[in-house]
Amino acid sequence: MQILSKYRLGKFSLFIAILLFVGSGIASDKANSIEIRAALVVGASKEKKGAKKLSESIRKRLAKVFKWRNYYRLSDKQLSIPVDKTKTAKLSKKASIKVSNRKNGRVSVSLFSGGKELIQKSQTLRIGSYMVLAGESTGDSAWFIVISKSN
Amino acid sequence: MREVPDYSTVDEPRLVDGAKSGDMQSFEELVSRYRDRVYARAYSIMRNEDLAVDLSQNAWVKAWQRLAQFHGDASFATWLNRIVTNLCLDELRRQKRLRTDSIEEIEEATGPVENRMEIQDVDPIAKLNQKELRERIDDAMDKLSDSHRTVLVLYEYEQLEYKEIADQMDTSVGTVMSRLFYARKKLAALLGEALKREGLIE
Amino acid sequence: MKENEIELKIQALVDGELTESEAEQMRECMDNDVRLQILYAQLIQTKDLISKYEMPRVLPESGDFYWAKIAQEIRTGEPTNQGSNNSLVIKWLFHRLAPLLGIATIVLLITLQQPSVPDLAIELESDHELELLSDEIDVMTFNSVDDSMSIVWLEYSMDIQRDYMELWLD
Repeated sequence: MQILSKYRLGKFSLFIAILLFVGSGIASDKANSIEIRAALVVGASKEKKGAKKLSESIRKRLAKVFKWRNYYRLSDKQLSIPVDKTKTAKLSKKASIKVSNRKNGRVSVSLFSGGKELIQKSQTLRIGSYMVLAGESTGDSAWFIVISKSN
Repeated sequence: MREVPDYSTVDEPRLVDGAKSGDMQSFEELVSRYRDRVYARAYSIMRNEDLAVDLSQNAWVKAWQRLAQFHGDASFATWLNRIVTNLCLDELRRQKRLRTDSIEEIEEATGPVENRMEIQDVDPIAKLNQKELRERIDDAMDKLSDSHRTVLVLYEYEQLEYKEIADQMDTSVGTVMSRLFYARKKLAALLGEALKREGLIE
Repeated sequence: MKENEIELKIQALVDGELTESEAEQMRECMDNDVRLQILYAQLIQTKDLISKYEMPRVLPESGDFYWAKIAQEIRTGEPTNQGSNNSLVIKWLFHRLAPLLGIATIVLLITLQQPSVPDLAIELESDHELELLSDEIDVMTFNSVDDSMSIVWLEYSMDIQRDYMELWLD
């Protein structure tokens, strides 16, 4: 009986240990995951009625640097990326980004157009800071991909 | 520890000397002091924001490369404006925008412009405030041909003499005089038309 | 003198481009011609308007971004400031360090001979790294420390701009 209970206790301990081990893995994965927000934005000189406006804090930052005064959000994606993992976000029919979590807040963002990789930018992204990839469009407008970290 | 100077308080000759010896921060301060002015000159000739930004930036790069040639005979701002003006003229030539329109050429060559153009008395401008007046003059400048506007800009804003403009534009003093005359008359006429539309004159 | 020549001379008088004797001659012409007097007055008025009321303009983009592009152009451009002290120091160093540079080059070549993926990474700061993967594109980079924002501005020719427009904004 004692042996049995010892055996059961041992099995139970093992079970708990496994649970703790897996759990800690999950917890540590969760702890090391980063939450990334990516938005495709259009900057225009003229107002576009009905278009979704960009939040004022980002709009102000962009308007400080670029000539366009109006910024509209075309699409928006949220990605939760565990450490050393990569996730993809499709922002328009052909535009997508791949974001890799390189530990300690460092991210690598690859920009694709129609499946073709154009550039890769790596940097440490802090909460409240932004990585912006941008380019000119026709008709006095420009596109912006605004990437930020929310945890 | 070496103290970092506050460049915004450094006088212009020292900044120029600093830039000449390769100090980018001195040059950056010069850029921040004159960037609007250089951009405005490029815009006044090109009438295009993007081109004006690009050309004014090229002018700064050229200025950096030629700093050794700046001896202070003219002010630094004047020297810079000469550089950006030359770049704009090169760009206009490249785009073949300096060719005079044929009708204008005929008018210039065949006698008094006023035979074909109503002389406008622009006195009622007194009814406009400075901002409104600037806007109307700017609109009128926009409607001039590139060659006429360029002559006006070089003469009135850059204060070059007829001969200097002729040299810069690869043309004769006579053509400069005739373009300047036509440009002024046309500008007065355009201004008059605008004032008429707004009911400021009969 | 032809009529248009007189008009141009009147203008030259307004602009102060005549010699004193030419100016005197034109003033005499004007004394007897009301039409020329009107033209003279109008030219003065127009000249005044143009020179006094130039539209003030400010850069349509931030000064930092504007400077970043100039600085980048200067850094990637040809050697500048002919005869500056810096270039003399560099020349001196080059002469002194030439043998070391030779050895370093050999080591580098040996290293490069190892099979590896071509590294096109461009170091922006200690932390920032940018890799260009398309030769149709140029980039401008700019870090706005105040606004905690790093910007990569892609530049491409107008020919492919239409395609990009379709790519991004559809």
